[in-house]
Amino acid sequence: MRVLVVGTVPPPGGAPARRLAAAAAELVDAGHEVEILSPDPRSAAHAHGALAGPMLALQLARRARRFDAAVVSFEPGLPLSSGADRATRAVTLAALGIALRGFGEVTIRLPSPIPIPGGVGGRASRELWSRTTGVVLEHADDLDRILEAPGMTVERVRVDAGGPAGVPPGEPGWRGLTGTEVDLRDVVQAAVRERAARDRLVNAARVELGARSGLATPADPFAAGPPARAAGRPDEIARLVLARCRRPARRLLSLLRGSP
Amino acid sequence: MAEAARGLAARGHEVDLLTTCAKSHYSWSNEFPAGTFVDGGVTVRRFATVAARSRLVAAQLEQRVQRGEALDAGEEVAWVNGRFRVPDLYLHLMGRSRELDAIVLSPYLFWSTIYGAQVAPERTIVMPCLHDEPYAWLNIVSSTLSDVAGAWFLSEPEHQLAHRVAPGLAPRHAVVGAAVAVPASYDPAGFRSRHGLGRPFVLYAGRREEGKGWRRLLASFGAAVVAHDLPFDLVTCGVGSADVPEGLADRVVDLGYLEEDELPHAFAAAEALLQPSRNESFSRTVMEAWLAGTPVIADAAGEVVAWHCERSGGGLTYADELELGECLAFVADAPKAASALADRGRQYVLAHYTWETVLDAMEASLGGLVGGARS
Repeated sequence: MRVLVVGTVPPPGGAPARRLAAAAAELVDAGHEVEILSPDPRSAAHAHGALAGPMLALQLARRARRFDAAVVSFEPGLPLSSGADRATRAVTLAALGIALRGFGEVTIRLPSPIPIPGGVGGRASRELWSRTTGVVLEHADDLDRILEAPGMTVERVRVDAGGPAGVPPGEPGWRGLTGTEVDLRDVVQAAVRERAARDRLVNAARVELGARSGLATPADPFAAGPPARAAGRPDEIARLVLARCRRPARRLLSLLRGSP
Repeated sequence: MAEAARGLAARGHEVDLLTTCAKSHYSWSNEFPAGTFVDGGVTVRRFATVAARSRLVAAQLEQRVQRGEALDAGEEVAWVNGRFRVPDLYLHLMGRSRELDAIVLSPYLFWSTIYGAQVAPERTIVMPCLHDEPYAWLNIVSSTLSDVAGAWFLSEPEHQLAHRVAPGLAPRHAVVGAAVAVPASYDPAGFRSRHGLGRPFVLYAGRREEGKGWRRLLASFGAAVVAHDLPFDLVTCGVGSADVPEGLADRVVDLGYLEEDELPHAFAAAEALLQPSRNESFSRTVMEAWLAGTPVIADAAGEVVAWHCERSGGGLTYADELELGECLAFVADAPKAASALADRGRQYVLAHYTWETVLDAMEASLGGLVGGARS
């Protein structure tokens, strides 16, 4: 099956990004062809694009014919920012429902708290939640809220906490630790090992994805250098432009050298 | 050693401290004047070093040791002589050995210890500061640790390593540890202000050289920063050139050498101390960080530091850059829990590594050797 995964995968980091990358890696392991579309240009995705508001629906509609299934990870700003008003929410979710008609299977992944301001949607979102074949929640506490969505049924919902060992399920990463645990060091150390093991799998899957798609996927993120803090400085922009121009320039030079 | 000497002197023992005129353990050239002076109740005697006759032979032997090749007895002696020698110190010991109840020599791999241990082995204690490195497995080291009266170790892993290196290890040996002075107060805000550090940072304090894992740390830190979008800079202080790669230049701050009274504030200001060295016999910086309430993140291959982290419950270890990234993500995401870890480290240092505790252990060992310490 050809699967389009929409959301942020590392880098940058963050537990939701790592969980989405792990889910993509599982799909690859299961033999599916996976392509990742991310709103974050730093994300190790196959494609990047503007995914805020109705733009998400447009991007999905453009790709629907090439894919059998879609996995859409809702994130702050994807597609709704925390300040989105009721009308924006209605238009965005309605458009999304229509765009997802083009996919055979649709999975929506929702971190906790669910990043849809003002509730999971009214009548306008019926198409979306009816069309969705599966919803993956990060926290079981959000179950009641998602079941309020029109057309949603409990058998289509599952919970994937994916937290580190010893951390209460559903707590956002390390913040579940209070510091009063008797075996605090053992808990954290075990979680470090477990998370790193998962990172290893994700990295391996990312390399595999890159190899299959023919896209360059650096195995060593250090090879590309860390992101500069002050993005957008003139020297940084010049460096990026030069990096982009290098390959075409070399091609041109080799053509000129090869010509009589 | 100098602090231990002063501590023993303060407890009423008559202590002489014999040392070289060298300042750098790379060149061993005589930079301090030879002579005698009194410091903190201790008589300090400096002796001039003598360089090896043939640096070429010494360099060849050094390469063979590093490759793990076996040297014969004559070659091992030549290797010991190839770094530096202190014949005047040896002669002084020979002349005064009968007046001394005990001779304490440290560390294990230098001429002063290997030769000094032969003057009065029945009254000599070696404090080897042993690492699992090629030098440790030379026969001359094994015989030194076996022929003396006793040995003092800084940690249990070092003690266990000594048994492997020297199966006939001197019977009167003990894990005495090392002591760390407890600062009266810390000034993290002042430190940040004095050095222009506006962003949160993790600290590496130590020699910036291959043997201490500095370059490995730079690569791992770079990877971790990218993978986890971390808010930390890496601040470093110590001797040696930091040689920061261009790609990391805006995330690594090199403060160079910091004076001793400034270091505690650096530990207190850091979000975590990174210890990438795999060859530590004690790791004073780890103890100083814990005292300052700062959690420790160490290379898991460093047996001694990993042992401290596990025994204290105050530090984390990493096996590779992915685990380092997760450790740093923990410090960034859960500062309260990270602080609780550091607090366990502080309690551990106060329980085991204050001067009072360590000097008690040294005196007990010396008492067993000479039939009661003089006081």
